[in-house]
Parts: sequence; structure tokens; C-alpha cells
Amino acid sequence: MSGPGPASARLLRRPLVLLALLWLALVLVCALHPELVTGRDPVDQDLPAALSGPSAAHPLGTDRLGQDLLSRLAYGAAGTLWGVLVAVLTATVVGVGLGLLAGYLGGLVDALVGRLADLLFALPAIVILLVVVAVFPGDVTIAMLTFGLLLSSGLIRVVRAATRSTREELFIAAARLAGLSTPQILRRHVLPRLRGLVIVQASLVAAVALVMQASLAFLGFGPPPPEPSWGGMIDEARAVIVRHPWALFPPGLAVALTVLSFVLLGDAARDGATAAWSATKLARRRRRSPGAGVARTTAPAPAHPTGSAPAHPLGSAPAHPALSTPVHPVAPPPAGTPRHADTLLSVRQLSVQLPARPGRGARTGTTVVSDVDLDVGPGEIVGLVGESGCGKTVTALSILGLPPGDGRITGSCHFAGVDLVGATDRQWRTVRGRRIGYVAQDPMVSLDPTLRVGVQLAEAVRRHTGLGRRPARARVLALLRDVGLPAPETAARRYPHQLSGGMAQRVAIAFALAGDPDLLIADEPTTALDVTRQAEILALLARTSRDRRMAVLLVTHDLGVVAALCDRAVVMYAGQVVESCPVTDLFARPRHPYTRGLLAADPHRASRSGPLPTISGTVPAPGDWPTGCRFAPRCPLAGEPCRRAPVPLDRLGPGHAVRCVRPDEDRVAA
Amino acid sequence: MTGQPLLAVHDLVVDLGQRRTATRAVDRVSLTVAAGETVGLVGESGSGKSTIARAILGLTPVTGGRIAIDGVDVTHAGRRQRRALSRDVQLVFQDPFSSLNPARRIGDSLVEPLLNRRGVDPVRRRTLVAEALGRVGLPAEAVHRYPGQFSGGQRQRIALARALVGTPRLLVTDEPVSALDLSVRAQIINLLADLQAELGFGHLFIAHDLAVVRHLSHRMVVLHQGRVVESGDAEEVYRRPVHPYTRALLAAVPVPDPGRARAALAAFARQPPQAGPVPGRCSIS
Repeated sequence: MSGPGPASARLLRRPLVLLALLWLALVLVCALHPELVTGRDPVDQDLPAALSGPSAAHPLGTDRLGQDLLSRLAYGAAGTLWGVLVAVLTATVVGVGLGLLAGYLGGLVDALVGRLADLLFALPAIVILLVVVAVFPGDVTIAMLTFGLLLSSGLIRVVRAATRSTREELFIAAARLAGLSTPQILRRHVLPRLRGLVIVQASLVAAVALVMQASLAFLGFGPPPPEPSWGGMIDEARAVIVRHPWALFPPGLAVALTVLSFVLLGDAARDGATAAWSATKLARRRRRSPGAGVARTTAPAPAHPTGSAPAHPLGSAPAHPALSTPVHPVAPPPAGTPRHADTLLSVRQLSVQLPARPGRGARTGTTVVSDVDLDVGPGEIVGLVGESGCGKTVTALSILGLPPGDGRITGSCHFAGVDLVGATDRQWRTVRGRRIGYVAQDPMVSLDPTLRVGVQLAEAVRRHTGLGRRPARARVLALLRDVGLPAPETAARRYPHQLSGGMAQRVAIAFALAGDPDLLIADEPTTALDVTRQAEILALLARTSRDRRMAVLLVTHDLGVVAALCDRAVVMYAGQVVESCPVTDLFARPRHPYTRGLLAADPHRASRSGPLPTISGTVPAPGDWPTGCRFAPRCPLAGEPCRRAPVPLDRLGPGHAVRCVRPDEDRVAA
Repeated sequence: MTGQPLLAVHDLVVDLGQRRTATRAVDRVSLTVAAGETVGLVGESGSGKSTIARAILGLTPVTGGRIAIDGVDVTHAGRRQRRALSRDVQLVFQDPFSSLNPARRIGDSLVEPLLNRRGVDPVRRRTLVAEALGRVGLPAEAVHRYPGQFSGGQRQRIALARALVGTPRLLVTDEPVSALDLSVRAQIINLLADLQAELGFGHLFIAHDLAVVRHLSHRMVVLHQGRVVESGDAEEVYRRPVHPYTRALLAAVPVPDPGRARAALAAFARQPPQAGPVPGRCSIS
């Protein structure tokens, strides 16, 4: 919803909305100036033509008395619209007013308004209305006023709930701290948030009121007979339904079309009222949903047993040993890691493109990850480092074949001899969970809140290992002990919500370990935790990786975490790998200006006096990437060659690759 | 600075929750902030640091103790006094996404601290808002745009501009940089330091990252489970922590230096610091 042009103009391009608008405009013209639509008097009786169908003289036919149906419809519009207006105004004023007060003030006011809403809700509307029209016969205004009041109970509740949730927002606290009074806050902050909601509710009230008004007239409580009304016309048509069914169509269709138009227009008006600011909200929500059922458009390719990846700067084409071969012990990060003769995971030219969203502004798909090369050796811990929006999480999820938002994956991703890009569902079943485990940033999302931890874990263990019930249970306890939970039996009996953040992350790691994987992909596993809990989880990951000879691909934005845990680091910026090297090189000899900038800006490394060295500007969004070096606009060294063409990832030394035109020049003091 | 500090919190106690099930979030905390000074308040989640900020600003009722701003007791200030106080005390929240109303233009949000000021006419308001935006490094035409059109770092600049548009004398910031990206974080830290040098406000800076606090603060106060466990000169506390909890906290922060980080993690794995409550009340503070 972020396309060009003003919101109102965009809405008019929706054909249904345009039709609804035209119809309501026509009804409005009828209500104000019916003589413009028809030359006939609605009470003129053309008896010879009684009960005729459409003709030149009577475009919509006539009723029993020969009165022109078009004319009666046109002249009846005024009363109908007036009734709807009265009901909508009453319901909106009462509903929004009381709902706002109840929601914002709370306490006694809330309780009283709540009871009132209950009372209005409990009253049988039709009975009350019949009493009212019996006391004030033929008075549409009072009947619709009453009906609006009865309908306001729904609005009171909806507005109250929305107000309550808005009241808890931080920006309300900010407004209070800015010294605004309650009426000011309601007018400036709460009402604008309710606008969309109220518009939709009002359109529903309008629709219901129209039907109710027609029903009352149909029951004989409308305006007295010679006067035209839509409900009355339906009643008259009912009397002759067998002899002349046509007479039912004009008033029936008019009611139906008007009701539909109200609802359609209500939706459209809501979108229009919030279009200016809601685009980002949608975008944020979209980002959070890595689809489970992923449409993969790459053709399934046969798994090749011998690696035939294209030549790449990180080393020679990797071989893919079967995983049963004994795994070489991995030394702690040596300076200048040798070529990965025995690569476990080898990602080449991995790109992810999110599909185009017609009507949402994006006409072509957006590339969020481009040409990522990445190797993980057996037992090796590799850090995938970058800021938000650089594509590190998308890369990690794409390795698992789960790109967010129906993303399209291209390139190759060899894991233990199988190209996962194009793997069949059957191949995936043997890989996900069994060979590759996954730990998410928020442990709570990966645990089912309705099941005890032990039950969930046992299910995972049995699925991945085929163990029986009892051995699986023993394995669950062993796993929980492995991840450092002091009382595994107690922990197994807990529900996820009874766990603290650190414990929940341990359980989530136990989950990932259930299939005894060769590779663990951990996406910001400690970001939501306190530093002491973080240190515990990092120590756990280090120990688990060492004891099980399990490789870890650690997605993180924290250079300290990389330093503490990783053997090698892959730095991403704007969807690309910009530097890839052993972790000792990363901190001692960073070559890419972005890596250097990040390190310099870290307050741990900066001297205390004077300002921190900074990288100017912000990370560009996918779609706004420059054609040349993507870091050039923020780079102190950038020159003409940087901006001209895309920069390749060059191999500098053993295991060290950099995507920079001038990696040897020292950064000017920032 | 005339003897009394800008902000004086004395023996503050805050209980959260209903009467029966109330938990003591802040337990007899005392601290001061002078004009032109930055005091860092450090602690993990649940240490009560945000609750202290909310109590100072009147967003959470105080159970006991005293909060004075410029020597005036504001512990139980009423609505009217609070609104008058908004002139002197402002807060910047951690989350730059929810602290700005997405449905209102930047200009509408920025002008709010000036709305109920006497003697500030609409023309003057516009000038002040433009000045505030310029101070945080944003163009003046940003007033016509919505928060959704800005990145996290830019929004935090906007939030900072809103807090400073009325030139308060005390600024409280609650984890203002922890939601930001690395390369943007340093920009905001520098901005906070520059603004303080320019405007001379007292700054209570709440964070969990000791390195950031050390960089920005003159003094540091370490909280654990609602109590002050250590306080003193920021550099001194960072370099020579005395309380075991401060030491544990410092040891747990992974340093971007493989040698040191690995050694620290190995030490941590051998002997994790006590997770339970700190035994007794420390006399260090």
C-alpha cells in the first residue's frame, strides 16, 4: 500500500469502490432532488398500467395502483437515507464517546459503561422498536434514534478495547510526559488510532439500520401508505408476489446494493484514512513470518555425489565426504585456516529474491540476499555477522529451505553431499532436525505452550531417532542434563511459560540437539538474554560443539559473541558477504572498511575520551542498493572505481576474502 | 550547581503489583544527578533500573522514599505539578518504534512539549521544532513525514529531539541505544554527548551495557535485584570493580577480542557467578 499518488486517488482505481461510490451518489441525488431522476409523481396512479413490467413509460414498471416504481424508489430515498443518518450518528456519538471514556479512564467509569453496554446488548431490539413505533407511529427519526442507541453497545465495546490497548502504548506515556492534558491526548493520539475502526463500524451500523428500517416499513410501521418508502414497496410487492414477482426486484435490489455499498465504502475509507502511515506496520509484520509451507520454484535437481560447485574465491571446489567418515578434530582457530578440504556445508552463489507484490508498490521481486558464499567445516563454529536488514537471517533460513515470505532461492547449498537447493521433501525430512538443528532468537516461539517440555522433546527424539517410548524418555533427560538444566526431571514436567528466558533457550537448544545434528544453525540465540545468561548459553554452545563435534552457524550482530565463540567469521552487508576470515584475522587484521568501521565504533575498543568513531549514514534497504560497492556511500575510502561496477569477493590470503577495491589502504582516521 | 543536585533520589522503594502479591522492584535506592553530569544506571533485566526511571517521571507510584528535583519534593506529585514538571524533566524510551505515534506526523509529535507553555506562540513553536531537528541532525522538512518513513536510528534522533525541544534540565534515557544497530549506535552515543555539552542538561542514562555506560557517563551506579551494589566514578568502577556482582557482570560481557573473550568464557564456564540473590546488603554503596 505504498504505491505512488495520494491515497484517495488510489482507492478510486478499485472498480468496486468506484461502483459503490457512484451508486451512493445516485441515491443521494434521489434523496435531495428526486425530480432530477424522474419526471413522474410517486403517487400518480396510472391504473391501466397497474402491475406492468419495465416499459418506456415506466422504466422499472408499476405497482398495484399503477404508481411508477422508479419514481417511488427515488422519492423514498430521502426518508431511507435520513433514517440511516440518524442511526449512524447516534450510534457513533454514543459509542465512541462512552467507549473512549471507559477505555481511557478505567475504574468506576469503565464498570458503569460496561454494565450499560451489557444492558443495551441484552435488550431485544425488535421488541423495543415495536414499542417505540407504537408510541410514535410513523416517526422514522425517533425509531432510528432508538435503534442507533441499541446498536451503540457494540461500538462501545470495540472502542473501549481499542482505547485500552492504545493507552498502554509508549507514545501515550510520552505525550503525558510532554505535559499534555487528558483531552489533548484523547484528541491527538487516541482518536486518530480509532478512526479506521470507527469508520468500519459505522458502515456496518448504516447497513444494519437500512435493513431494519426497511423491515419496520415492511411490517407496516413505516410512513403511511401513499408516501413512498423502500420497505413499504417491498411490503406491497409481497402482496402480489405470485401474480407479479417483478415488483419485488427494484426495491429489493436498491436495499441490497445500498447495504453492499456502505460496507465496501467503509472498508475503502478505512484504508484511505490509515494509508499514510500503515505501510510500515504491514512491512514489519510481513518480515516476521517465515512461511512454513514454502513454494519453491527452483526445479529439483538430482543430488550430485561429487561437488561441482563453480570456482570460488574461498578455496578449491569442495569435496563432500559422506558424513560417516571420521571427522577431523578441529583445532582452535589457527591463524590462516587451511582450505576446507572436508567442508560440511558449502554455500555458493546463494541468492534469495522475494516475490513481487502487485498492488503493494513493488512491481519486481526484491533481492534480499545476493551471491552468498559460505563454508562450514565439521565441528567448526562460523559467525554470520551483520546489522539488521543485511540478510543474515534470510541466509540462515534459506539454508534450511525456509526463506521468509515465499522467497525464491537460487545458487547451491551443498550439505554432506546433497544440494539442498532443490532437495525433495523426502530429502528434507532426513536433513531438518536430524542433520541440521535450528535455534531461534526467541525460544518461546519454538516451544508449544500447551505441552510439557518433556513430552515435546520426547516426540522430537522419537521422530528423529526412532527410539521407543522408554529409551526416548531417558534420552530426553540426558539431553536436558547436557544443556545444563540442574534438575532435568523437574524441567521436563514444566510448561514452557514456567521457564525463565535462559532456561527456555537451553530447552530450545536441547530440541535442536534431539536429532544429534552435524550442524546447528543458531539465529541470535542470546540477543534476548541478559549478559550473564548470554555467557552461560555461549559456554554451553562452545562445550556442545566441542563434545559432539557439531558445527555451528551462529547468526549474530554482536562482535563480542563472535570473538568469544567463533572460529571463522563471515561479515555481511546489504545482502552480500563483504569479508570472510578466521576470527583472529577479523579482529587483528580486518580488511574491509565496513568491518573496520564496526570494530572502531565498538565502545569496548574505543578510547574513553573523545567521540566514538562512527560510520556515517544508515544501512540501505533491499532495493536501494547501489550498483557498485554497496558500502561506497558510507565509505571514507570510496572513489570512482568503487561506484562504477559491482565489486567481486577477492581472496587475499589463506582463508581471507574481501569484497573491496582497495583493501590494503588504511582507513583514514574517522 | 548550587549545593543541591538537580535530581536527588533518597531511599526510593517501589513495590509492583497488587497489595498481596507485590514484589519489591526497587529497594532503598539513593542516587543524585547534577546539572551537566551523566550518571549511568547499570543492571540486568529485573534489576529495577527502568522502574526507577518510571518512578522519577511519575509513571509508577512510589512506595517509600523521596525524589526531589531541584530540591522540590516530587515523590507524590499530582497531575498539575507533573505537567509543570514536564518542562524540566524528559524521558527517551528504548523502543523508537512504539514511542512515536505512527499515525501522527513528526511535527505534531515534536510540538507537544511546547503546547501547554505560556508565551510560546505557533510561530515560535515551529522555530523551536526546526531547531531541535537540526540539533539531532535531521532536515527541517521531516516535520511533514510519518515515523514509518524513518529508520530506527533516525527515530531515536526524533525521540531525542522531542525530549529536548523544551530544553529540559534533566534528561532520563532508558536504554536509548540498545535497540539500534551497531553502526548507528555509536552515532547516537556521540549525539547524546554532544547535546549535553551544548545544552548542559543532567542525564540519567540507563543501560545494561557497561562499555557504553563507561563511555558516556561520569559516574556509574550498578543495580542488582532492586539494590545499589556499587557506585562511583565510571572509569574506576569499570577498571576496578569491587563488588562481586559488578565483577561477574563485567566478566560476562563478551569483549571483541578473541583472546580475552575466550579466556573469559572459559573462566565463566568453570565457575559461573552466583545466580541467586546477593548475600546481605553490601556496604560498598
